[in-house]
Amino acid sequence: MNLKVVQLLVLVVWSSSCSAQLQHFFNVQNKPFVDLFSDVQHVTGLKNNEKINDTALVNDSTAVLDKADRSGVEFQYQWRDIQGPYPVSQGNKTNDYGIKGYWQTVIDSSAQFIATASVHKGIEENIRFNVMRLGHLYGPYTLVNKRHADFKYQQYQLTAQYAANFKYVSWSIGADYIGDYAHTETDPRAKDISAWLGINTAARLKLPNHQLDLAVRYQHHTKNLDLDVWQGNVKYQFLLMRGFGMYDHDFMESVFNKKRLYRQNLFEIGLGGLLFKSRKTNVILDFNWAKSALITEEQNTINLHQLATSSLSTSFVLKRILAENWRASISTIILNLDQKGTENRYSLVKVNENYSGIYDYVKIGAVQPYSLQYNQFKTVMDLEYNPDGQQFGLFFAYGQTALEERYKGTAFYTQINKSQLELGGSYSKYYRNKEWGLAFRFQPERLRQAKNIKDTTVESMYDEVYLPQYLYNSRDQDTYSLAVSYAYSWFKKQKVGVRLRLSSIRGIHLNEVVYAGIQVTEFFGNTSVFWEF
Amino acid sequence: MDLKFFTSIVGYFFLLVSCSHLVQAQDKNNSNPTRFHLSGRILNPEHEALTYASIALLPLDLTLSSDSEGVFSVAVPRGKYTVVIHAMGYVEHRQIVDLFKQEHLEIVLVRQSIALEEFVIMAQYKKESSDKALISQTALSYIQPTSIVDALVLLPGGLYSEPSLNQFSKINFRQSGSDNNSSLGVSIISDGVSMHNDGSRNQLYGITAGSNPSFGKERNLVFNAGLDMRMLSTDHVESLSITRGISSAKSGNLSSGQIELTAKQGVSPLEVRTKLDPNIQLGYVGKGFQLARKMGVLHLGMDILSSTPDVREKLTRFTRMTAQANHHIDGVLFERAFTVNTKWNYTQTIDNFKTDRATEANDETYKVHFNKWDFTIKSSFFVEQLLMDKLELISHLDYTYDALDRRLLVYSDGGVSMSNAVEEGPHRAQFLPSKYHTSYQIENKPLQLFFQLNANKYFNLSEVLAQRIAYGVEYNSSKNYGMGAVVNPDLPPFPHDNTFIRPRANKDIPALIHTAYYLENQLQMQLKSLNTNLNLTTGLRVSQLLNLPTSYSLNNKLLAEPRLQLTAQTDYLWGNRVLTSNFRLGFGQQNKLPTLDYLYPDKIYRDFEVFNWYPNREEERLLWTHTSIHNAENKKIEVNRNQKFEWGVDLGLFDFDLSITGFEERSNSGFEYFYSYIPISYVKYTTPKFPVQGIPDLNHFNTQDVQQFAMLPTVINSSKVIKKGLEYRINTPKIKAINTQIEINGAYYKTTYSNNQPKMYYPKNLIDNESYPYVGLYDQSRIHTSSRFNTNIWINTHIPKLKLVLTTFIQAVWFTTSERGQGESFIPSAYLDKNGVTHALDWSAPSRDPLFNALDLTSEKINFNQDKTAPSYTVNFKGTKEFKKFGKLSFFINNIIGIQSKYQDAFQVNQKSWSAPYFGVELTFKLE
Repeated sequence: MNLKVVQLLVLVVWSSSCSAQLQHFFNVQNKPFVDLFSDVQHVTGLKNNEKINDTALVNDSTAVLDKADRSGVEFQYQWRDIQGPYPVSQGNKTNDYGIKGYWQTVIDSSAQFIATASVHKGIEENIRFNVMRLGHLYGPYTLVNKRHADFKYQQYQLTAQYAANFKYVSWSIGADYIGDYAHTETDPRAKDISAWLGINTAARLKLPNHQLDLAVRYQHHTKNLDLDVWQGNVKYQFLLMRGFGMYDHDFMESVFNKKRLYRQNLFEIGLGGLLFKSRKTNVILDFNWAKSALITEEQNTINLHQLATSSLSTSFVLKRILAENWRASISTIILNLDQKGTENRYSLVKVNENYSGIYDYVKIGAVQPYSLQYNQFKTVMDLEYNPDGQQFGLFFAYGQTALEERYKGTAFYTQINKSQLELGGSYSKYYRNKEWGLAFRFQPERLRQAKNIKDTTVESMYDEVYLPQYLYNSRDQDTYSLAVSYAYSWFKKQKVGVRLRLSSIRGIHLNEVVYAGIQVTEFFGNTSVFWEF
Repeated sequence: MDLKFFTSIVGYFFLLVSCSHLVQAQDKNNSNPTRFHLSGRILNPEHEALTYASIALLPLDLTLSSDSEGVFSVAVPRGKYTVVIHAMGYVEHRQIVDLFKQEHLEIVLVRQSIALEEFVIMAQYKKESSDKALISQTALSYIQPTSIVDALVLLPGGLYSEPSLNQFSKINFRQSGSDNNSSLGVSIISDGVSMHNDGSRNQLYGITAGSNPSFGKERNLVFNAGLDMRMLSTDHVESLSITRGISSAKSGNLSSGQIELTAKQGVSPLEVRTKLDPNIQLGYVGKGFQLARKMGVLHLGMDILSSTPDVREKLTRFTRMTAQANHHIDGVLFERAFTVNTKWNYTQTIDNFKTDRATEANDETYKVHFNKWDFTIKSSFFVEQLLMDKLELISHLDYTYDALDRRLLVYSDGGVSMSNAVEEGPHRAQFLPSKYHTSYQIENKPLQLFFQLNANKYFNLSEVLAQRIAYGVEYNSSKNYGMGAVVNPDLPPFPHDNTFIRPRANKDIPALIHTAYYLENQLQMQLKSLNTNLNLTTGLRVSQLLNLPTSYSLNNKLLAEPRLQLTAQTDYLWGNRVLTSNFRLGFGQQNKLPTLDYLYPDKIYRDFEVFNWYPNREEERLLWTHTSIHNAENKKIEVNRNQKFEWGVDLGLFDFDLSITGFEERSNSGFEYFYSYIPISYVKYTTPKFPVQGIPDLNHFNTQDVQQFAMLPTVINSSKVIKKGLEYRINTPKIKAINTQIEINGAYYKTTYSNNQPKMYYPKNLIDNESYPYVGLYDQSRIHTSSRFNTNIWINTHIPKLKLVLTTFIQAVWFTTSERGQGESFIPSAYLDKNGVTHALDWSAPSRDPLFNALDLTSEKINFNQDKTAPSYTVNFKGTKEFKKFGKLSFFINNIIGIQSKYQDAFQVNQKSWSAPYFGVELTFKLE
């Protein structure tokens, strides 16, 4: 159930990004511009989703900084096309255009400020069942109505980070914002406004031979969902809303308009350290813990659903300088993620005896029928060779994932276990005024176990919420990725460049009767052109 | 009274001038000159002449501009002045000049940049009238408003609201809630020209006042509510000045307040601006050119705005294009300086053919056209004569073509009766199909002429006493050449009530003409011993509506509006620091004149079914209706008079500025389509006397006399609004450690909406199978009171070194309340019978007929509890970064955090408001 899990991994990604931010500001390295798989905007809007898949390849270096002031603008285009079964909440075809501006400045010799702002516009086609964009972010607590819709969206992103270096301590503080404004033009027409506001701070204690990192982050997310029908003076139009929880048991709502608010608070803390940093062999340790709480709110002020998520990830990296230009590393990442859904029950009661017909909802209880557990283990071996003006990289990774999802005991039950192998390499070449690079990755993924149970006596949305995810993920697949980049600099620090990345996934469905033997092909492309001044 | 009144005004004027002149003459005799020439040269940072910069002398309210050599010269009375110089793209320069001899200034202006400490973000306020807010070009360039409404959030009491350009956008000042009379009473003055749409008119059920079009696609068509702010582009505006208190006597035909727009003019680099957010896309390009030597400067600008406020509904998309050419020239004629400003504006809606799935499915069309041309010439002459120093003539012409062409599918629910009769009495009518396509058009073509002649005279009566006299005359005409509502009477677009389906053309209605005369006197006195400057402004404006039928009470009537403002500004020494105080007091009467729609409403034709024969055979069907005609016109209509009283205190303490303004406004004569019960009598045909075969003959039917009440509208000055409130503002000095300045402002508003007409109630009871015979009249109609208390905190962090401005705007609405007033009457004091006769009713009389019990409304369960919302907080953010010398990028997030608490309403039901975030980017390039 990767899709559902991937969003949950945002928690973990940010944990790792805490240390990444520290790298970003404190380890100002002369990394090449050609960082082939970095800074990939996720085509559906959550860039972090993509990063988790790239962790092994990217090596945590998400940007290149030096101590010069620089500004730039970047034009981006991304697309995805899936032929065969696809994740219903994201559609099978996506096109995304964007422009991004960035600004980096050195405030004084020990402090830096960097900010980025971007605007994206795109469309996700053929979203099924969900009347909300990014429906997979809310567990089973989505709103379901339509059979098909295209979501058009605009997305605005802003990040800002300030960092200061002192003798023994370094400190950074930052904020980020993503605003997503989406809509559909088929009834019921959805207006879906989502926002993620994050603040973070990190500190590093610099000891003679070691360093210790502490990073914390808070994120507040809201989604305002507004559904309407505009069929002019055709009178019989209405919405038939369905959803897990109360609607299943008490009523199915028939309304002309529906609004719902989702709110989520996320808190995470990361603790890390670099040991023996001046030796040829050093160790990086990272512990990250995150917890989030999602709650839904209806127009009549009741809170039907709650979804609590917690995650713990640990990573261990052993780095070794083999020779003057040779570096190697072995890293291990372990992740555990736990999710629990609570459904509140309300009763509609008369609240004012003085007037007739005055009713309101009163909470009468709560149940906790939903749970999800996801575990991941991954180990990566990385080898890097840096002769003059060149850089060679090679990596190999192996990992396993296990997912178990339950609703009402085993009324609905899903289990998917997978193993992944990854193999990749990169080459970069630098000249006085230009640089180029090439990278590839091959990632076969095999299904070790896939199982699902459906209790047909329980009237539910199993077919809309659980089954599609299971169907999409119960498959073997091979992923091929290729990235190239080129940059050219000229007069007064001006630089232009282009990045191109292509991915292809070929898979075949195994267990499930419906899709058994059906092949799926996914294409993903990401390209950008930038001008730096 | 009129002539006497007018004579006394003229007398007052001559008294003022002659006294002042006497003082001047005495000074001359003393060979002590009272006037000196103030001249200067304005340069850009490269020390090149800056042409056509604006030079204002405060407090004289005298404005002139530099010539093609950057030079200016003016003779003014001896005194101490603040010289304010601004040119587009440059930082405003202020300099105090103590003029006791000829003075020449050499001023170098600095280019505007966020890198400068002087970068202004917030609205600024004049000391003389703290309720007058100036939103300068730097503030405008920072907030980048899409509409004037966006800029109002800077003012105390202003609340952020998501931009919504899909529907009529109106302004309501200083109130909790809103009403059309208040927005109608907001005057928009563009470079001295009073802009209004009082000549636009519509009479069609489903759209016009009194009906409720909010459910239909016609909801955008709003009349009698002032100018639609969507049609005013802020891209062509250099600065905005907003007066919510007492306006100058120069300004009229307003009741709530005024917004003055100053157009961009002068030489400027090529500016390209784009704004992109989910609902609005805006593009602007503009440049100011220096024409050939002594040919003046020309500023050209054009913008396109597209707004799809609810992106799901394409029918609401609004796209408009505006263009402006503003030419400015000055010179010397007969040794007197003059300036001539010629401005041309054009506004047009694009995307005129609107469609969505519903209109396509129903084979409907919705076509709109809006084109507006306006042309203004503003000339100023520095005549320096006995009666005037400066003479200004403003001539303006604008023409609007505003049309809607609508084809729609109508469900009449079958069998609805329909009549086209234009005379009272019974007429044969027809049955409507249950479903049909029809179309209608609404066409307005108002042509507006505006002329204003203004004169100013400046005196220095002594070293401590200065005087400015302003007087002038104004002519305003608006003639609508449009066809108005054009409908197919056989297939009405809104068949459920055929009230207005026989409209007359707009072009058949006389022009709306009014003139006005004003006189304003400003006295400034220095009380040196008290370190106090007194400033007293008294003004009188007299308006007159012309071209009305003689039967109208307003015809040629002189309508006086006295206005008074007094300020006392004092400096106190506290060690080596200066503390300041400024006490303000104001009173004013402001009149809003009725619109064409209110003056000339169409007759209302109400058809009552008197015979309905509907056999299966269509050719045998017969329908008769009785047509009753009601004249909604009110020849006794008066102006909407608004009386304002306000007081204020401004304190300057250790670099903190504190300001409090209290006000009370009373309007007891707001315009309204007031619905009242009117008795109607007609004969109804009931049962056949003989068996009917074929088409029935009415003579073969029994008849019944019917007397009933119909609810019909008449234009009356019935709306009553009382606004009270307190506005406050606190400015902190810049906190240097964090480069931050904070402004806290807010307001408490309490607004009472009621009506000066008696309430009417008609019971639905049947008495002996007959409808109830009386309508109850109750002394006091419904009273509704609304209040609001808010605080806005603006945290502006300006880091010149990084060319960065960050604004965090926290909006706290502590509460809003809404309640029904207990002063409403529930016991009738009179009743109306079916003959239209009103009888007094003594409710306490023991002999009262029990029939009247049905009029007793005391037993109704009415909720007088106050509906009070819980506090709600929203945080908005904006960041602007300037790149190099040419680019500026802004990112804004409104409602980045929204905290709304749950509360129980007046019925003890839980309620909570929601607010969604809104975000966008803005990019500006300036290319030299």
